[in-house]
Amino acid sequence: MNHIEDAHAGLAEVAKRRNQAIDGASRGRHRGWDATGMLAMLAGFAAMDLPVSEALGLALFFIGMVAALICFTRAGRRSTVVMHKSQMTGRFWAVLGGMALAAGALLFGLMWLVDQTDIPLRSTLVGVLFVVLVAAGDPLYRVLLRRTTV
Amino acid sequence: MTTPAGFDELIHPPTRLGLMALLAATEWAEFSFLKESLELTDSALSKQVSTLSDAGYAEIRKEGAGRRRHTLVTLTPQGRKAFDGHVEALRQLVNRAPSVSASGAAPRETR
Repeated sequence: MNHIEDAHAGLAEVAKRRNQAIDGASRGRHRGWDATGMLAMLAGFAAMDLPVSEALGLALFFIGMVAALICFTRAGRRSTVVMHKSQMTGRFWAVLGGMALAAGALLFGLMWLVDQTDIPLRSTLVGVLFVVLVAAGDPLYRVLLRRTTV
Repeated sequence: MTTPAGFDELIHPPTRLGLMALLAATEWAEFSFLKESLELTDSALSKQVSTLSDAGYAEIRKEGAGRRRHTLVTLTPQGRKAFDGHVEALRQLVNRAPSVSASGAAPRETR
């Protein structure tokens, strides 16, 4: 029976370490690049409040979003740990897609809410709120991510 | 009891199994992350990594320079294959449990 208990303990150890690695991949992201990405995102939103044509405002917004995406990708690549593709299961992509959809819905909700008011720098405010809420949702994302390989 | 195919004595000790499991879940991991996760000293981790490296299971890469120098550890394809085989062997051992313990008693479901 010792072999079996040993095997049980081994499998439990493997599961524990996998969770640690997945946790490390999100916790160990490069903070500088993540912060730069957030700033680029904010700048993109703020560009929509500039007194320029709508087309130019939108173009600047998309440039900000692309720059943010590049920064976030770099933050992931410069992490202390990079997840192996074997960990990116269907459940992983489902969590990632779900979080992206939730973020999109949140953004539309915020834009609708702010549109009901007549405050200045509305887009910038949406950007600030969005960045804060995304940062606040990070622990939830980590918990969900951990469940993808269990 | 016979040991299932794929069971690897080199991987099996708890610390090394933990290290292999961490590396298997990652493309690569920084030495500092492995040290913190496994709660090992620099020298103890170095020893474990060297053992895996000597067996052809792990590779060590150094990146950057000066203060930003990082030591990265990654599993080789051979190491990944050995780890997968070992985990499969552990699963087989666990699944065999009912037939082994069935010495008169009814087998118990494991899954």
